Amino acid sequence: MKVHQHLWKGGKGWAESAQSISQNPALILAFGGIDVLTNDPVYEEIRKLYPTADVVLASTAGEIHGDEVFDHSVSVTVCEFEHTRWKVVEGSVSECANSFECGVRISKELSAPDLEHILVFSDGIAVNGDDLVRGINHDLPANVIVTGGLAADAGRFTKTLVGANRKPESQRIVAIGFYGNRLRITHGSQGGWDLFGPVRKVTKAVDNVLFELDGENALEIYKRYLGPRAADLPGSALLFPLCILGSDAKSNLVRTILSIDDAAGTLRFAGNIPEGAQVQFMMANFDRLVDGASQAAEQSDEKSPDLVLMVSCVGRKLVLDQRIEEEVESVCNYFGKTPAYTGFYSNGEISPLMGSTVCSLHNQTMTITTYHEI
Amino acid sequence: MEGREYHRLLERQLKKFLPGYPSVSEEMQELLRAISNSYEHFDNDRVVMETAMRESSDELMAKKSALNALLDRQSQVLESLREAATSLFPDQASIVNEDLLRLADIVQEEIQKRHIAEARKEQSDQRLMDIIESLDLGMARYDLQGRLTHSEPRFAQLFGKSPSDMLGMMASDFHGAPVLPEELRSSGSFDFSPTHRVFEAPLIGPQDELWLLCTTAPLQDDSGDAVGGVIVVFDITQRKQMERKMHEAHKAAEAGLELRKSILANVSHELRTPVNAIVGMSALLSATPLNDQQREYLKTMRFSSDSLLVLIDDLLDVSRIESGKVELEFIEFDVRDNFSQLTKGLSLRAEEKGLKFSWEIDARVANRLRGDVHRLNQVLTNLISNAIKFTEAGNVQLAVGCVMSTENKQRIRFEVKDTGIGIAANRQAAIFQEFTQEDSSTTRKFGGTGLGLAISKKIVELMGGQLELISEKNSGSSFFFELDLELGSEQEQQAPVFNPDLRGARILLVEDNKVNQFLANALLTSWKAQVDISEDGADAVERVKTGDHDLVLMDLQMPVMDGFEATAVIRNELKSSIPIIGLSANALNDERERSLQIGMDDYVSKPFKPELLYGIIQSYLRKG
Repeated sequence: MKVHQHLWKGGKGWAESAQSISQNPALILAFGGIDVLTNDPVYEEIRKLYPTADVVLASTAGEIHGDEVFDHSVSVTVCEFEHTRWKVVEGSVSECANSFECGVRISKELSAPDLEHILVFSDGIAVNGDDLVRGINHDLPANVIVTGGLAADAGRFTKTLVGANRKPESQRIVAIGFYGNRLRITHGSQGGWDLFGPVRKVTKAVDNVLFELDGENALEIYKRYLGPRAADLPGSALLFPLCILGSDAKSNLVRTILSIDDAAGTLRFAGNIPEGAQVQFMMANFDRLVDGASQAAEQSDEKSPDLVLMVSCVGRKLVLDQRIEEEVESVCNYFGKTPAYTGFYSNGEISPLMGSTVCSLHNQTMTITTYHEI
Repeated sequence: MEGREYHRLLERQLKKFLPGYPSVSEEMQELLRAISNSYEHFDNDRVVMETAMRESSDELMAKKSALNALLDRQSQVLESLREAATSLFPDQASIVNEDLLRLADIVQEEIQKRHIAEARKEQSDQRLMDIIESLDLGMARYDLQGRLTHSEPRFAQLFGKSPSDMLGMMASDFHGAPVLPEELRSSGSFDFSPTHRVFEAPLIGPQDELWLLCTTAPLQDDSGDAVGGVIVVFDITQRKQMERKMHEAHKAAEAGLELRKSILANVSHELRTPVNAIVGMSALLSATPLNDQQREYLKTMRFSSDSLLVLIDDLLDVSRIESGKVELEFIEFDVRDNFSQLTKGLSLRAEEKGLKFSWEIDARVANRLRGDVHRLNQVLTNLISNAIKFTEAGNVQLAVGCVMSTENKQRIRFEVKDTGIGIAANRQAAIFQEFTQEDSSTTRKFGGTGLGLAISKKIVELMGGQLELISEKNSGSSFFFELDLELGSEQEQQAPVFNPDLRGARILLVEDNKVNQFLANALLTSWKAQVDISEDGADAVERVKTGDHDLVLMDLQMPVMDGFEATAVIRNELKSSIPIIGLSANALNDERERSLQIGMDDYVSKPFKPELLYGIIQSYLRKG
């Protein structure tokens, strides 16, 4: 497996004079700021360099490129596989009845006896990530690892872009299936947020829309906790993600707020909030967020990957701000100088729960997928 | 950062530590902006953190006080629980106080015990229900509104329904059977009232008529509030139908008795007429010159006919005897003279049959006693007659003995012994029954009504004795009884002199029977009355209209117009108040009542004793 990377700077073009390294069939992952993908002819420029490659693009809330985090750029990673086949499917959310059906359809289209891994990038606003993941898992053999993430728009939560072999658009989903037995995939996912405040019960919720906690209007509680930052909702709500408490800490799920409805007094999350669930607020602890990233790297249990794909959460970037690179550095320190590093800050991370291959939607985590062809 | 380029702390630091500030290079400016942003970000984070911590702290405080309140409440509850447990299980008090877990165990044990008790109760209830079912009792429960809330299968089955069909039904949904005679209907109507009641209800069941014996009782819930009632029913349809049959049979039997009574009345009429003639004729004959032998014969004849009259009366009065309506007379009589007379006729019959008849009276028996001598003679006549009848050879004896004497009473034993066919031991009780002889072959051989012994037994009982029998088959019989009789005066009482005299009285005799006509006419004439004779009621009415009679003797049963009708005409049309005395061979009471009701002044049944008739006539003539 060969990997090489290019960086496009918003409004400026390639960072160094970009040249096509090879004309072999390649899979290209391009993660870029939404304004850059909208305003710059990024797709056209990549296509010029690699006319035959499969190009997958997604908008972000920050691009990970090497050990650095950029805004207003596009991180382009070109992968050439020696033994591994891949297949890209792409479609619009509107083609399916709901997010769950989209997921079912994706796994059906990619299905093959030697399917090893599905990497999925989805619209981060119109799609219920939880349902999408459940749909993909529905008919999938348990050994197939599913990872990926929801596209982002720099924390604005209004419009995200995804595309494959075309200029990216909103409300699209792209999935890539990897086949064969020569590609070793590992994954890790870690949050590093602290639980705080009282445990509350979800007394009213429909799918991913939360109405009430302990019989009290949930939006009111958020506003109370945000104080002066309530005006910055929904972005400021990323400071207090909601943890759905499982039977033990491993099965806890973290949920990020995607939008609020002031009139209805409701909050919409990136995944479902089951009625009756016990939940608790979380808040950032800088050191632990950074530690979380390196723990995710350890979990992946891969010593010499060819490529490390990091999908981290927009909430982490909002909190860590200028210190955001510290979490990327800690991952790079773990794997060393050999592998290529790419990734983005997303509206939701897709990765199996630890200790299981069943994929879930995560929020507020650093999620790592490593690729190594043997 | 209004009015300032950088964070205020950074601004101060720059002024203090950076010479030449605010003049800085462009690269420097970018660095300073990044530093300033970090300061800003830190401030924001602090504000958010403080707000969140304050909120969280407030919330946790509120939760803590809520929890404290809950704890207080719980400790109160625990204390109450302890108190309750201590009073519930006083012997466990120490354990209850020291160890809550132990308390929970104890409560758990008690609950377990209660479960077991409840299960037992349920079993026992079920057994009770099984018993009720096996007793063929139907049971149901109803609420205060009288709606069925539960029905056992047997209850529903009585009405040809399933238990679930019965739910919600009211008592008024079960209709009464209209076919029943009024007197068989029960006073209790079918109802579901929450009270204690027992009643019989006639209803329509699957096979039309359904009689239920019902018991209702109130039901209460655990707290003693009335919730309705329970009804237990038993099917008594068959019993009721049997009762009805018995009722009908009883009516038929009553009708049979009426018929018998009317037959007796007719027989009596037929018998009395000839006996009347004999009595009358003997009375007339005794008024003619007679030699001593003739007088003695006549005396015997009169005695016999008197006895016969008594017998006829008794025959008529069988029903009266049975109902205990016979009134005894207390007449003083000469004991030895009475038995002398009694035995004369009987001796003759014994001698005719070649039997020896003897009688003896204990010397201790008083000469004069008081009692119903006619009844006594009737019994002895009957017993002696029977003895003669059932004895082919040998003798018949009458023995009268004194068992005990007091100042004014004697207990007399009467015994009639024969050497006849005897009576088998197993038949001795039966022969005292009406219309019974020892067996039907006896009847063919010896004749008789079979009435005598039954009457005798009852008469003896009426007089305070007990007719008993000692006998063996083919070894003769001995009937005996004892009576307490009052002593009479030792001197013979002179009978009042009977000197009839109706001189000057005009009497209308209405009588169709020639013999009776002759007899009455002879009697009245011998009493020196002036007698006119009518042969029927119509003629009598005419005579009363025109004649000038002082009194009418009116026979009741006559051709053309009977005595009742004639009397009615005399009273209602002629408006005459002439004394009318009814004469009839029909001795039944209702005839007498009817006579008086229709307007007769008095009533004499034939054959009458001259002294009685004379007395009555005399009393009405005197009134006139």
